[in-house]
Amino acid sequence: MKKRTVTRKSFILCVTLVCLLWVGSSQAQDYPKSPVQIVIPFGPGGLTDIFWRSTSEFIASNIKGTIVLVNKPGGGGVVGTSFAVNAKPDGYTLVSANSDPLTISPVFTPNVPYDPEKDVTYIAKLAVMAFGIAVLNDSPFKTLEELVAFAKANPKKLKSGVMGVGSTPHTILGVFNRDAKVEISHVPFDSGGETVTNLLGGHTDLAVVSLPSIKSQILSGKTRILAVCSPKRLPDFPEFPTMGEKGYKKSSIATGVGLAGPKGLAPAIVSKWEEAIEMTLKDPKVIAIIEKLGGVVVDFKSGEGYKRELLADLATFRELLPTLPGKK
Amino acid sequence: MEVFKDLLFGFSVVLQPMNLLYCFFGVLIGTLVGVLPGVGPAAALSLLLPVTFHVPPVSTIILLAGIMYGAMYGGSTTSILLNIPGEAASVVTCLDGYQMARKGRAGPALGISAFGSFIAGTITIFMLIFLAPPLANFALKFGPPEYFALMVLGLSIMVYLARGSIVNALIMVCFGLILGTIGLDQMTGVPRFIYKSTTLMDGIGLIQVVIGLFGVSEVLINVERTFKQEIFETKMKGLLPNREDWRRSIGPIGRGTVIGFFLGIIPGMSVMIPTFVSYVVEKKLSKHPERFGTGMIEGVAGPESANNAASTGTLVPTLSLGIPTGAATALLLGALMIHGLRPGPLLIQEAPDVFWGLVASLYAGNVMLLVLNLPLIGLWVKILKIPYHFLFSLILLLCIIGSYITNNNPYDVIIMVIFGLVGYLMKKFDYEAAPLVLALVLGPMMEKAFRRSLMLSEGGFGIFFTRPISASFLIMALLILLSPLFLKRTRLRENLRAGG
Amino acid sequence: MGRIFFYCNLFWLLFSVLTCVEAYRLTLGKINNPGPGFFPFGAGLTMLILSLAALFQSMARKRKVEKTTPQEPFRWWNIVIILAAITAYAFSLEKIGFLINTFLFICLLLKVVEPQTWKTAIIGGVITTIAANLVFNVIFQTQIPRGLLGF
Repeated sequence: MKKRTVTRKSFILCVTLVCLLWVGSSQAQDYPKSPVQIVIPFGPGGLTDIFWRSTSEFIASNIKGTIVLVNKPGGGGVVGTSFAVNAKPDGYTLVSANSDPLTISPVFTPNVPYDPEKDVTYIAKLAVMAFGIAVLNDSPFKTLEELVAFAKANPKKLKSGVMGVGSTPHTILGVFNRDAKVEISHVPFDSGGETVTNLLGGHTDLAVVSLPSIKSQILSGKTRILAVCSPKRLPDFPEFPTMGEKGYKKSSIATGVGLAGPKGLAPAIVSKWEEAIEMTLKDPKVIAIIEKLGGVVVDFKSGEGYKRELLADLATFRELLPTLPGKK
Repeated sequence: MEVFKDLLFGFSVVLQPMNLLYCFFGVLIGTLVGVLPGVGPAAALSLLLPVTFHVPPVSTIILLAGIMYGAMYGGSTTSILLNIPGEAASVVTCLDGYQMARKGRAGPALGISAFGSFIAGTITIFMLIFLAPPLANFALKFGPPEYFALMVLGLSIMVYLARGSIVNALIMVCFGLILGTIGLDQMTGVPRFIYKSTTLMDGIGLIQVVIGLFGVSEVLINVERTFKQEIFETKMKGLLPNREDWRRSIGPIGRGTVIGFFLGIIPGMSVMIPTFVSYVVEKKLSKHPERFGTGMIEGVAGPESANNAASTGTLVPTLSLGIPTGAATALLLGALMIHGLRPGPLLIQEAPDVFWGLVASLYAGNVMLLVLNLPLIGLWVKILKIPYHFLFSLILLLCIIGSYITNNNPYDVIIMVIFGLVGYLMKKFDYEAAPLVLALVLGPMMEKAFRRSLMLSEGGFGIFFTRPISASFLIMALLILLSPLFLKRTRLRENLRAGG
Repeated sequence: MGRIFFYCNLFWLLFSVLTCVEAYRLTLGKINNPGPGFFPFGAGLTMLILSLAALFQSMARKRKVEKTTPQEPFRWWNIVIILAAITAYAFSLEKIGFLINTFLFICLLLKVVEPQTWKTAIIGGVITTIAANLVFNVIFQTQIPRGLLGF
């Protein structure tokens, strides 16, 4: 009987030792010493999520480390962003820095638990996602001008699908309404997919959606874009004019995808990432993958550059705040 | 026929050894994912996305589809064995499935669930092939007013869901509706009932509520007194459904398949709703409605079939229009896009091997799941033999991890704890969880649909009645709500008199 | 026993009143342009009416509910302990880490709720922790925190 107890005890001891060793062996040299957690503040399957999952492997090999992607969705990106920027600035918790939670939510949503200017260290900008104003192919509006003319003559008659408050499309429509001096009504939906579905079903007259979510509808001829919100014409759809060309430069708001971390992140760590990301974004394989998503354009900027851009956007949106609907 | 030729082509693609392996792998992972609460197919799909880069497109799709299906199958396992819904869609299976397990009939419950899912899956795949394009176009006609009307109809059938006091059930519905409003109001950005908590910003997590209400509260009820009485009947009464079971289940399976498929087509429809509808339909059609909730096999066969049928249904708009209907299909689409494939009307023309390979793999996946799951029933049933004084700690651990994992947020676990307590109290005071959960899911959808409809009509209520589809749903709902008044001697009436 | 139902309904009554008040503060809007408070107010109002109805019903009639007196004691402390343990687990997870936390949790439950010997508790704890680690961290690569000691 005693023998059995001894064997049992030593078995447990061995097992415990094995576990300890196994856990302990995940240490390496230099930064990044252990897997870096990049928080994606949106749910799995969304554009941001797919973007990172497609590119993180390449970035990880360029920075010679491991990247672990964690989804923390909620509040239009606020929950995940808040979690990461409030974490320890040891370089092991970073976040996908999307423009929406950093420039739009702080303006529209009360009690956002971070200050985009002071609480965040910006590392780099990776890409830009373009949005566009879409209509059905058999819609009477062939150009943006026709749309505006109709809207001017019939205030509130036109309904546009957008994503909810605090999202880029919502803001785009608001700015457009102001600049074109029209009143197109917002109908907020929960996701790009839902917005597209309702456009296809004819329930809304137009929709402001991200290019990737409507790409297949354009290619199949069911919808077309009256204007894209991007600085230059899109490589896959050169026939669509930009908002800037049509004279609505301010409405040309795009969503940026970048990387950021909590304040106080060491500059050495920041530059390591900048270099790795820049290298990754020059790789033709990566560029091909990103472009296949459609409407996503590689746009590398350093941390400083991204910060300046975002803060400028933030200021613009703060100006706009009182003029936009949905705000009391 | 042209279609059969294409289908054979699809099978030829799938039956290549490599692809079969991917299929198997997919369903295996999917099943494991489904069994674990809180880890849904979306999580698994996104974890595996990078892996798919090194794999040809057809195999990717086969793998991912396998996961999606496997997860649906797996979800019912923990529902039946432990009263923990593997994912939201399996909640209804808990109602009667777990009770069957307690009576020693876990095997037949698991078995009929597997078979029902298989039958439903097979039938709906064929429906998918032949009916996809016209159905998809029909689905597009569902705009906000139609959704609202459908939700109202959904809530009205709740009248038949309640086992006990109707008033209590209605209070639960209201409770669910109110809980559903917690979070940032998507339409105006205004926080509702958040009180500065970032956890609540996106609303109360459904998974956490459900795990608490069903899983945790069940443990609490069982530990109240010493475990002298067996929680689970140890003498297993058979491992597979017997002839009697089959006789009773064939109808529910058939009905569940139809209900599941047609409801699943509607974009954005939660897979959970068809399962509720199927349950209620079976209850209404049964000769012994009062026994639902004590272990009626119809209450497992119907919803499980509806579950699987609905999953196939969600593929209809995904594949034929390129519109995702939920997280899992969104990922599937994303995977396709990354590989340069464009889902939508062009998919069939441009990449027939992918499309038909997918369809054939759905079928192969179904077969594989059946083959995989049936022997496993013996294994799962053994789990119930673990003495409860140990088992309960495993159950609780599973609940905790399940609640935590969705958002890696410890406060989600707290929500689970709260609802565990709430669920426990509800059990003691005769309040039912099912209406609460249904309202929690339907409420937000209903409200959004209502407000959007009014935005579209600029404030006019006529929009609900001028559109044929929504008008018919509303009329049906009205009829259902008023029906107790017309039925003379029904259990319902007696209930209304006795309830309170 | 009937008293309990009275208190339940009272609870719902209060809850619904609270909801209505809060919802009102969120702006109700007009019927054809509902605001954020509209829906919760409606639900709260309905609950109010229902709980009032239930309240009157429970007062008006005697409840003939049989309460079988069980032989065993009602061990309410088990419930408290379980809920407290889960809460503690949730809060300490990110500090202590998954492995240690799980081990402590299982040991605690096994020892306290339905008392086992120390040997059983510890062995149970170890086995469960290892198995859980295998399933969640290795197979699924889910990101459960590693905590202080890298565990």
